[in-house]
Amino acid sequence: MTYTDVQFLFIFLPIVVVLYNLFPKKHRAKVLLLASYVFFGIISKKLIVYILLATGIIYGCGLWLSKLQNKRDNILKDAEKEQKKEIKEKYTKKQRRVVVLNALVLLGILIVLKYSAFICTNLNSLFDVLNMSFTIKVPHFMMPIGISFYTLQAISYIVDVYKGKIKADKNIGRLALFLSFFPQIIEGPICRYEETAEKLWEGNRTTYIGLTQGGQRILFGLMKKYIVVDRVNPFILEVFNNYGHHNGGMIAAAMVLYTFQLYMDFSGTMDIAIGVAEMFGVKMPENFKQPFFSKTVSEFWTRWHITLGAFFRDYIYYPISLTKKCKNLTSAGRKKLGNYYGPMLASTIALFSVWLCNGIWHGSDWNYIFFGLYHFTIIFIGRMIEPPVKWINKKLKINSEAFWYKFLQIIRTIILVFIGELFFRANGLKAGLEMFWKMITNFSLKPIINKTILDYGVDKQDFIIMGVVLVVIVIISLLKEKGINVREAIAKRNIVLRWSIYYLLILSIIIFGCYGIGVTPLDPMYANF
Amino acid sequence: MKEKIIKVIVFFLILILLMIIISYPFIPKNNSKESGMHDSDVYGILGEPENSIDVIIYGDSESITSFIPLKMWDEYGYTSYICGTAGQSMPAVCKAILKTTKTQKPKYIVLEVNNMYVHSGVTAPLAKIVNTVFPVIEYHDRWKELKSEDIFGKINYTETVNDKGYHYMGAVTPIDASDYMIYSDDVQEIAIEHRVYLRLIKKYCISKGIELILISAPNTKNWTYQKHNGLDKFCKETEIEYIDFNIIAKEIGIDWSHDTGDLGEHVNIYGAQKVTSYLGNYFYNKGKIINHKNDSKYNEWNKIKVDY
Repeated sequence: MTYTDVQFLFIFLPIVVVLYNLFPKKHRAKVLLLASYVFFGIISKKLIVYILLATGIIYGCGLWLSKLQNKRDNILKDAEKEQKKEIKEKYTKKQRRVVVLNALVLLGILIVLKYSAFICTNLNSLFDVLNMSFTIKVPHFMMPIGISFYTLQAISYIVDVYKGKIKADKNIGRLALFLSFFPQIIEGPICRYEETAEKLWEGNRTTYIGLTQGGQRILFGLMKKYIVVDRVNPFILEVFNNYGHHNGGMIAAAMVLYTFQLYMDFSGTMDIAIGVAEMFGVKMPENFKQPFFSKTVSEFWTRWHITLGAFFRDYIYYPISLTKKCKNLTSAGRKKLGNYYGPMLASTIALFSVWLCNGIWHGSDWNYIFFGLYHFTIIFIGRMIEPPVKWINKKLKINSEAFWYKFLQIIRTIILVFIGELFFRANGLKAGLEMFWKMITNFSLKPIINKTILDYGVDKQDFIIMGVVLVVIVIISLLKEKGINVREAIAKRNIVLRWSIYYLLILSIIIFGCYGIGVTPLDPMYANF
Repeated sequence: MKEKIIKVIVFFLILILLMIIISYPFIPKNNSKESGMHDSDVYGILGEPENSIDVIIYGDSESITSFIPLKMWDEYGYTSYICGTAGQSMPAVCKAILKTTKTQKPKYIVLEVNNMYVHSGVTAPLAKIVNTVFPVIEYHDRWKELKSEDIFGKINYTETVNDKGYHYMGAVTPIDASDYMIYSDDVQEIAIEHRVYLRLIKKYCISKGIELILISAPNTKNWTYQKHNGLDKFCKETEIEYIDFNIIAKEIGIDWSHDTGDLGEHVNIYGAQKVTSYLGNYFYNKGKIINHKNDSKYNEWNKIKVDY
């Protein structure tokens, strides 16, 4: 069962909404928790034990940290001024050990389940290269859906308790619901404790506004999923699985369409997740903010999978940048290289770590690591050439604020993103490199001119209907960029226009949706990461 | 609050109305595959003259390989039609029965019960109901091929299928059936949802004056004595006739070294001939159907026989 399944939309969700509102306020959160575990149980069966384990671990570690903090505060009350620093350091060390232990256990489970096969396979290759007659049996574990997402949420909770940003939760039910809330469990967004936990536990009644606005958001997500994602899939499968039979033009088309598909799938799932949460009075953080209007790759990653980027920023980038060694490096750098390039040494180390983790997080294969390092390289080069570019612009009197300049920056960013996604989707790094090489050396527009591009499961009408959806998305994105909230703007219109828009959306999904006989729906793409 | 509830109700009523209106262009105007009809093999019967079929058979792949309507015509002059299809689930059987008995009033409905031990899930029946009420959902993929006649034309089912739903299997792949249908007292109960379906079908048949017969086609791969006991028990409880060809396989002369085309999962044409002869004789003994061979209204059947 996924969020776009009939079972979820017409059976599970309505039952949960009705039950949630039938129960008195104090029990509603329990209904949500039970529903979340039922949902997780349906999709992951006995692997539900992992999320229960993660909940137990962060609950215990949170209380442990809280106990240490209370103890420290009590001692500090009676301590002499000169002793305070020493006491603080002592307890910070103790807390750090708890955080590290927690992270080791949670990440350890993730690494064993997700990466052990990759690690063992590569070790075996290494042994082979070194002529060592030794092989490790490659394990294959069943991985619970969403483990990459809830593990990050769990870590963020513990780190935030450690930092004193939030207090450890003594209510295991609230913590469990924060971690397992069913709309977020498959693909996020990766929520912070202070963003959703309290609101979820309040158990506020479903409001008319929440229900209708949530419903609209869900419809928007369904449009992306049903009209685009499954429709374009046969073409992408064909080209990526048989790239040897296709020329560079086809590969380029598949690369563009895959990026389009991934955006539609992931942002569509987010629309549904956020829409469902709205029905329960919970506002989940946005995960997309018109990413294809970004002028740099760096900006792109603040608009695409925002909650993951924010997690890496807050829990990897800043902690590394703010270590003593990095601070010293920054100071030394400033002296030797000036105020722009000086701090870059330390920030590059942090940036590298972020992108390595980003690549690894997405999957256990070399193409994901390459994907991460590709973005690191692009962003790093972007930072390095920023001053000379500014200098050239000044000398040539190029107005970098001009529309055409920004437009070119957007196009450049989109092309760089496309290339990254080619490696991301490729069946391994070797395939990715070969596809990229073929795209450059064997590029031809022949498939479009002689229309052979239409021979792989996506015909002319399919392209037209996807084009229409793309235009709709672009218009909505443009309005959002101008600060116009489309849903609110529609809500202010008269009932005839408003309802006509909703009917048009619903009927478009029904008529142009890709479902029914002969269609194998694509599983949520980010659920595998 | 009351106003908001009314608003929601009105919104959905208009949506339902729109879906009904918009459905018409999507409904195939003929019952052929070319016209866009799904399961056109099943619905070839819609092109048959009204009330001209004596026996309609439903079920999964067992149903389409185990009976030969033209042989039954040849031997007894009875008209029969197989409206089964591979993997036909019980919700699909129900839908097919409702649709096909709109134009036919058969004396017998024969249901092959191999699918009785396969769960059909919760959403399948809902999907069938929704598809029936709003054909646009089932036939939405026809948006690419809609023509003006789909909007303004009338529904007129004219396509008939010469084999009357039978799927020919001529291969011979012998199987050792020595451990097949070993006697047992154990009972494998049929799934609860199928009990409901069968009771509903029986009720429907009674209301239409049709006799319901359940049968199990010969099948060494999927059928067991325990399954037989489960069906037999249910049929005795509900007073539905049940013929298990696996029990009488020897009696009707099924030879597993010759009569199967896929190692016992389905009978081939030789096995199907034996099953059909038995079933024809069974109907003959019941005496409810008359031989139409000399009836000029059924001349088409004689012609097809020659073609076949």
